[in-house]
Amino acid sequence: MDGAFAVFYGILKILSGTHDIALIVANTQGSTFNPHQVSVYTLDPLFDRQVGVINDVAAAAIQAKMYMNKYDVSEEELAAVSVKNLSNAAKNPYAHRRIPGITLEEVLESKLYYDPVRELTMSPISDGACAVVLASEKKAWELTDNPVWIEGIGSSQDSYLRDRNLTKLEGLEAAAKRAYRMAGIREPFAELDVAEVSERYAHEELMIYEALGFCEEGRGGALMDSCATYLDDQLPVNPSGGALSADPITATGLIRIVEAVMQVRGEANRNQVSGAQLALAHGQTGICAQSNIVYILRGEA
Amino acid sequence: MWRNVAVIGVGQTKHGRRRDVNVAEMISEAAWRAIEDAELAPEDIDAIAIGNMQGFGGVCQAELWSGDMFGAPGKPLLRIATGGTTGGSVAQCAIYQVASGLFDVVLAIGFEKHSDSKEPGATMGLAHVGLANLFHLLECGVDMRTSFAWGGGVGAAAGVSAYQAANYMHRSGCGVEHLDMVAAKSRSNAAKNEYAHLQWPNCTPDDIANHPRYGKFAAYPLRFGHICPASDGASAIIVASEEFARSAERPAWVRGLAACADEENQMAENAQGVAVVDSSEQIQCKVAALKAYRMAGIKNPKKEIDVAEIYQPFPHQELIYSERLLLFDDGKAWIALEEGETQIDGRLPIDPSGGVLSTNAIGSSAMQRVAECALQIMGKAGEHQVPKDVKNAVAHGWGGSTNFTVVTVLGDTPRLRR
Repeated sequence: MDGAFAVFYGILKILSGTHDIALIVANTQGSTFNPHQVSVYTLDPLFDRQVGVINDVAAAAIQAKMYMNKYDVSEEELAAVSVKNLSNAAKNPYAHRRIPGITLEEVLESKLYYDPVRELTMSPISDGACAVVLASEKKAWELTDNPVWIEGIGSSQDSYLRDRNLTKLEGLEAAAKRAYRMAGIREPFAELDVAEVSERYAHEELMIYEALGFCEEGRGGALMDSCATYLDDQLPVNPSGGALSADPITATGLIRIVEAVMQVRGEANRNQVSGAQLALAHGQTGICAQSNIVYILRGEA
Repeated sequence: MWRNVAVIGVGQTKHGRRRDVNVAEMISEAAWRAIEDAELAPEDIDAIAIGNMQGFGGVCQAELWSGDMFGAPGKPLLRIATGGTTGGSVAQCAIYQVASGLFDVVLAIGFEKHSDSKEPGATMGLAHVGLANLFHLLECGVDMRTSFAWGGGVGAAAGVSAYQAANYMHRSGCGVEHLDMVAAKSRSNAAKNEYAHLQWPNCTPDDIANHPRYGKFAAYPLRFGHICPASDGASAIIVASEEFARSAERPAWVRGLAACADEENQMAENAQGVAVVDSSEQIQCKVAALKAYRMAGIKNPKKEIDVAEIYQPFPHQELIYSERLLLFDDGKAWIALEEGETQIDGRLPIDPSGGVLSTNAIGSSAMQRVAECALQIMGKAGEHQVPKDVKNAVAHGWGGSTNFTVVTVLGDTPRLRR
């Protein structure tokens, strides 16, 4: 599971009043093994693993094709996600895949793995670790003048691959609704200042827009075309470069939280969204983003 | 802030060699029994916590592909993996989920299916741990022979435990015959527990010591008859807030809980005979116990604890941990054992269910300790119900290379009184 879920466990212990401070750590050293080979072990062992034709990348390609066919999304729109995120990543010193001046053609000409998933429309295999410290309200004020408050949390697991509607991230939608309700958010696109999401594939980011209520169902591609999620536009998504720029699997979601915290603290340097106060961070686990968790974070300033 | 939490439902599968079910069916068997025991419907469950030993049985992240069989879709789910303590950690996670005020009814599940990867499959996981330690040794330049000795000779868990047992015997003065007594007690208690794996009605210490196979030493002082089986099985509990628990007939209230890790035990394992740390000391268990008792308001555990469920895949561990849970003085647990105090009808029954020595489906084992304590408080333990009023019960688990500990105290009244 992603470190973003471990944050949830830390929150539970602090809210229970039994603990005051929690350290949450997540890491993966992808260079020591092939994560896509290992991820096959997360498939159902009774059928899918026995048949042996599917892995996480192939499943994502099926999802991408289904989504693109249903809503008439073009490969260029997918590539545009990579261009946006990787351009942002070029300014992020913590990112893994930094390609300054990346172009649409470069993405569309990158190696094809499973149509339409290409080298640059899927996340790289990264090494990385990440940690956050959580504290109760009382302890937080003792320790820092600049705490970031967790205003909302929501989590939900979807059905398994075969039993779910692959063209929609229903689990993420349920998770986001819970987080928005807890944080009192009615119009996420208007109210949020920045979002950091775990998009392992370019098409996932478009589906995430829809599930998070940034646009209507099937309009993810159109939102991308409008450039509203670029770094200096209405609601910047993944100013850090997102999972497409670095994916140390179980740390990826926790990194989203850290990047969101840096944004609302005004510490994101060249990737800073000016005046960011309210941020969303998203973590996921499982093939085709089966289990999701959403945080709403608010800065003190 | 803490709010009162209770266990209101328990479900277990028959543990043993379960070739009649697959992992998903096995998990849901326990989950549905727990939901039915709590007289709930699956839609009443707000959140789920689940865990097993990752990679055992050749499967990973089983909650993703089996979730549909126990009502997971649409619900928040957390997976926990902490080695042998997994089940206990999952139960504690569910307790925190409710105590935090975020959820009212939570389903916690622990499971393992060793037979899916054949018998050695279970220990293959442990061999990986051994191998990782070996590479660590290569880096750090520690004497290689010791690592090969325990890793190759008897398998990781039994290897660590044999040294631990010898150390405890040296420290306390108990003998192999006392290990026979614990094993015999466990097997005969298990015969009264319909869900247990190795059942041996009226087993005596001599039955084990003189048995042509079980009497042989696997690694002195542990006989084959002293070693836990590799079981298939799942167990589940329903944890609920006070509002929901009030409608239950006799809920088992969570009075205190704590987890503690002492990573120095990793060194004890590697250096075995010439250990940096004596792995029979288990100081972290005492720390966890003190925290949990303080939270539960228990001042004198020797008197106030009515029954204990201790995680004892090897018999000397029942003795060590009962001392570290402060139920007996240091080095004196075997005397209480000799006097029959820890029998089902004794003064302080330990593992009336038979414990891990008779049933070890790893992810399920520490969960079963909490579940069995709950059953004793609810008065629903059936044939192995202890013949006395159970006010407080303590559930224990150890994991890793004896470095993790979880302790959960359940009682017949809520922690916070109005």
